[in-house]
Amino acid sequence: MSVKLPSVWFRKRLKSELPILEAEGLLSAEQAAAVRQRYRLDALASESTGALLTTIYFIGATLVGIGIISFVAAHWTYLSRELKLTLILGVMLAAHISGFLLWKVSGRWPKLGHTLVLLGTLIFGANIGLVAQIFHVQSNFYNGFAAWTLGAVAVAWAVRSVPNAVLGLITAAVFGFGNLDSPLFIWFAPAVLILFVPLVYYLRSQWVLWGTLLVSGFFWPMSVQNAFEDGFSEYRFAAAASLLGLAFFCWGLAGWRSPQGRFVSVPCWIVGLFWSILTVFLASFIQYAQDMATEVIEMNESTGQFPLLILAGVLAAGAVGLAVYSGPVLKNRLSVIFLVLSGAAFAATALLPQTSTFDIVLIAANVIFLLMTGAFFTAVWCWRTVGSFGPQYCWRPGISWPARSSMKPD
Amino acid sequence: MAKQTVFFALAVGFQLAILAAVPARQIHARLTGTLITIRTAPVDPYDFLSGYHVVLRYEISQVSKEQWAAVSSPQNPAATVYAVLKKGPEDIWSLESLSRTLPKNLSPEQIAVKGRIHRDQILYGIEHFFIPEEGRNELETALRNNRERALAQIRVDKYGNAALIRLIVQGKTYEY
Repeated sequence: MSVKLPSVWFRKRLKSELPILEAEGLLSAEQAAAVRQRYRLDALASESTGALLTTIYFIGATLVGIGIISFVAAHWTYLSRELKLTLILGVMLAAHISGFLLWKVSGRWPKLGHTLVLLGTLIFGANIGLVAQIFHVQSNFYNGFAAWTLGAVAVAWAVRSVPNAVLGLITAAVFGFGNLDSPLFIWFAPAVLILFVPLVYYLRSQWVLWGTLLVSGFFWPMSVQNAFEDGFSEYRFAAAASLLGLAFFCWGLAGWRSPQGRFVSVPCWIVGLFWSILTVFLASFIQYAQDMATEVIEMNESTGQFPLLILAGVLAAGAVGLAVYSGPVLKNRLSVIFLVLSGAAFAATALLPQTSTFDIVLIAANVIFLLMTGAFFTAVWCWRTVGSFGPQYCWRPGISWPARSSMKPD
Repeated sequence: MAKQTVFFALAVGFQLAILAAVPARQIHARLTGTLITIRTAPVDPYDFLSGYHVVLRYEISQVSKEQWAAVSSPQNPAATVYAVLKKGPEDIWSLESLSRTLPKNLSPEQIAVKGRIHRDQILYGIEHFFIPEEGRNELETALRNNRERALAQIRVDKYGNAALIRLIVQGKTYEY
């Protein structure tokens, strides 16, 4: 029977608590043994050895890979081009094939095999450099990283490899940094999402999810900004960042609806909230809000565009409200007070004489900021009281939210 | 298991295909192209993946006002253009005119090279000449002392793809 185990952190705490519970007579020796077996506490030591081994393997592969890349970059002339190409292609294929055999075919050395497949993809990067060198292919070095990303993603799909996917994200980020001023840069973040979101679900990996959110999120507002040639625009940056935050936040909400999809929720919420909070934080400064409002007014007069930011703000507030409503947050008095305060502030905004767009932007930004700060502290509160953001222990049907008395020991 | 083997083989094959695709145009130009000589000057940085190289600025990349007239009007920044080169004295080729499409019916004294517009010049994808660390100083000194007299030999295939073959500075050939 396979039971989904809670985090290693929790199990370590449990392991250290069990002797105390036993000494206090709360648990009998048999009960303690049963708990120990249920949470596989005796396997903790070998699990951490395994994790250490994996770490050492991966560090080793990275070092060997970097070594081969610098060998290529040194452009050694004592070996002929043909020999060098044969050699490094051969090493790449050898790493891939031996890794696959050890990992998937014989199955006796899965970790070592997986590491060798990762090494194969690292040497693939070295090979890109080598063929570019031999044929004097003119490119900026970061364009090679895009080709590297594609190769890494292909292997990540083929053998369900998280390290290969993470390598693909790192190389994609390098490619992104190199192309900040490219006219096609606006397609970078969408391309990262198209390439990696299916992988996130296929691998069910929070590592890949974090990487995808960070890489696409980091470059998106910048790329929207750079897509226009008329200089920095507060409104455009804010709209891009808040829409991105909202999209990630809603992704987290959508994931939350099914138990299989829940692994995406917390990272999506955190990154989504970060971008939304950043936007409204910026907009809550008078100068920024003023510039933004001026732009919005000009846009309304010249092209009649709907103020995207306010739409995004309202949607984001709705999404936060929905999340707060659907969770255990209502059981926290503090967050209820926050909600009531925010609602009152919204009502006040609506009732105020609407003198200018500027006032609305400023007030709305401050209200949204208040709301999100509330949501953030609520998340921290969940984490402090139950050792997680709440989800896996408290919201599972059949497991009740801890009683208030158990939250505060004294 | 068998299915995964196929997938893995496909993934590795995909990596090999990328490795073939990266220099594909250069390989085609090397195998089928016409060898021509053009003038060049260096500018030199380091490439993380492929090592040291000199960045070359070709005479045929510099375009005069009259030549721009044939392809100007609102340009997108990376627009493709074809440069028609003409054979000159000492068998050195130089820029004659520009064209939006691949020119047909060129005389044997002419050849078309594909490039893209980058600011006020044209890049042909042959601007990087990778050099070994040990030959670096020698080549750099030679290039520095002969700024306007360095020559590059390239091969150009019938589609206008160019591959950089070697540099010639003061009669000495550099090919890596």
